[in-house]
Amino acid sequence: MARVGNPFVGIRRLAKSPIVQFAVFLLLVTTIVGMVFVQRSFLVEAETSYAELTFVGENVWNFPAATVCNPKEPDVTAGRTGDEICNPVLFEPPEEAWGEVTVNWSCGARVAVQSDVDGDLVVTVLGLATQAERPEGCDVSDADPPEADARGPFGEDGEFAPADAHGIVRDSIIVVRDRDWRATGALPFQAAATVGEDIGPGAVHFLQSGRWEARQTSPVHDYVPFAHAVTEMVKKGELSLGAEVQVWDYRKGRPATMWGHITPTPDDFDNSLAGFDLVMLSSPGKTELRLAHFGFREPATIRPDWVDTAVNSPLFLAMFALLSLIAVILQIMKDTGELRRKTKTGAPPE
Amino acid sequence: MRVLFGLLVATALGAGALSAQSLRPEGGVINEALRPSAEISGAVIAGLQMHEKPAEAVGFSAYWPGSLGKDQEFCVRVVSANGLYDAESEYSFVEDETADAKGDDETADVMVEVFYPTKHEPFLKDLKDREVAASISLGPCATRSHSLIVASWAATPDDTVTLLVNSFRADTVLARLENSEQTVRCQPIEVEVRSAYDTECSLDLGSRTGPVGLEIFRFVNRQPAPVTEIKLLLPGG
Repeated sequence: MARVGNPFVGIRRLAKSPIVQFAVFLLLVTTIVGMVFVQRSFLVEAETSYAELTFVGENVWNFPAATVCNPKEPDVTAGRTGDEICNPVLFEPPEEAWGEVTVNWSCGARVAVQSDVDGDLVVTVLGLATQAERPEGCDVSDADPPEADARGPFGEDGEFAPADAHGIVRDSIIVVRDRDWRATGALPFQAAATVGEDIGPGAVHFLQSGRWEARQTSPVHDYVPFAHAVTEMVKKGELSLGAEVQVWDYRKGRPATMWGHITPTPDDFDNSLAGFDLVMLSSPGKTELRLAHFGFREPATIRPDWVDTAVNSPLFLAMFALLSLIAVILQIMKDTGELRRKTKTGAPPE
Repeated sequence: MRVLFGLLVATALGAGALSAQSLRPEGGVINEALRPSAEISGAVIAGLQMHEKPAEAVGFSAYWPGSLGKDQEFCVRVVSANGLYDAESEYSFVEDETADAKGDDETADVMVEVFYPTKHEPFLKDLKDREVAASISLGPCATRSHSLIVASWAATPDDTVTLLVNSFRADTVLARLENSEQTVRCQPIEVEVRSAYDTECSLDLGSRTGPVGLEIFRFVNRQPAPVTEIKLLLPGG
């Protein structure tokens, strides 16, 4: 008969209790489920001279001093003096040079942001994104022109206006001089983004350097009290020069929505390649990082798995440690009880 | 007028049938390579062709200007947009004397089959649309001639030719046919990997015949790069 007040006996009884065994089993299952059913987002930080954005939601950019060049039917016979902001072969003369430009981008508008070799920032309107290029929340709708899902040649985007001011249409450019760009504030965006361009012979716009992090959370993070609302970094890496980076929602088969901003690079332009800093974070989901490099047929895909979670997640490391500790305590209790029972009955210890 | 021109040529071809003439590679084999990673191409012009390449197709035809001498040497180049496959072989004109002489008139314009004995048929069959470019230039391959015959993926003529250009990542590419008032703004090709070429220009031939000059303008950092000039050798004229 057990003596009252002996804690070992109490723990031993608890260990044998089906409720405790079920609770431990439940903890184990929860841990494994939490490792599999994760919501992941990617952080990308890059210094680059090229990025492509397909806007979703509200995106308003303000340039204190910029020039908008709107396209015309190309005319290679148009002469130029050499000091025009808008090349007369491709563009109409600007309405205003180096004035304030505020642009509210339409949902589905595609633009390329690039730094020219002299440090000027140039935003080129690429047109209207196809359905496959759009992130969630900006699907092709009945309101879009018929050509919306099949990008037509120059001037065939119907009534679609990529922006709400300055007569901006497809192939328009916004030019910001080097010194004005430094004085321009951040350009925030909510968009599907491709950072860098697959490098090739003659490429002058490309990703120069950067890094990425995979951060994730799971239902366990929401329901375990001490881990509430925690997002953990489970994998990270560097971005090499010339890479083209995109975050992809593989469950939905479309680009992930990114929240980010573009800012002038703090580097000295005289001693480094022209470029800008871009930082962006994807919305949580079933996301993967795609890295394209010149010469490779398919982009390399980075999608952290349960091994990365098991190795890098502090929460799961703690839970596994806790489970191991409980297992060890229960085993010790069981072995101690066995030994006491055999000592009492006179059986030789094994 | 264009439709009439097409109909006339199609009638001359026997509703698209190929003649008993063909372009055949010297020695019966082509110099081709399929690599695990892309080869860097240095040529501006990657292809000049009619129609989009259908999946499963391998061979193509030459939109033959009958005025060309039959003893001419040609260079046939085929390159995939991803840069993994390329071929460059010298060809000559061969007339099958056993077949019915369809064209006693040696200057007749015909669609001539380009014999293409590739060892990489499965790879080429997988490529479609703008994923592969074919060009047929006058003279041996070493000369890099800028006189080109139009290749056709459908063995029939078309009003439109597509020029596939390696723009060296230019911001804007324009193309203009000789004596044309219209300059065409070329577009980036919509393929997964753009290594060998990156831009396509669709040009309306209208009723043009014979040799036609073509200029390609590239703009990098909003500044013009040197103009590339080629000559299209079209039937007639």
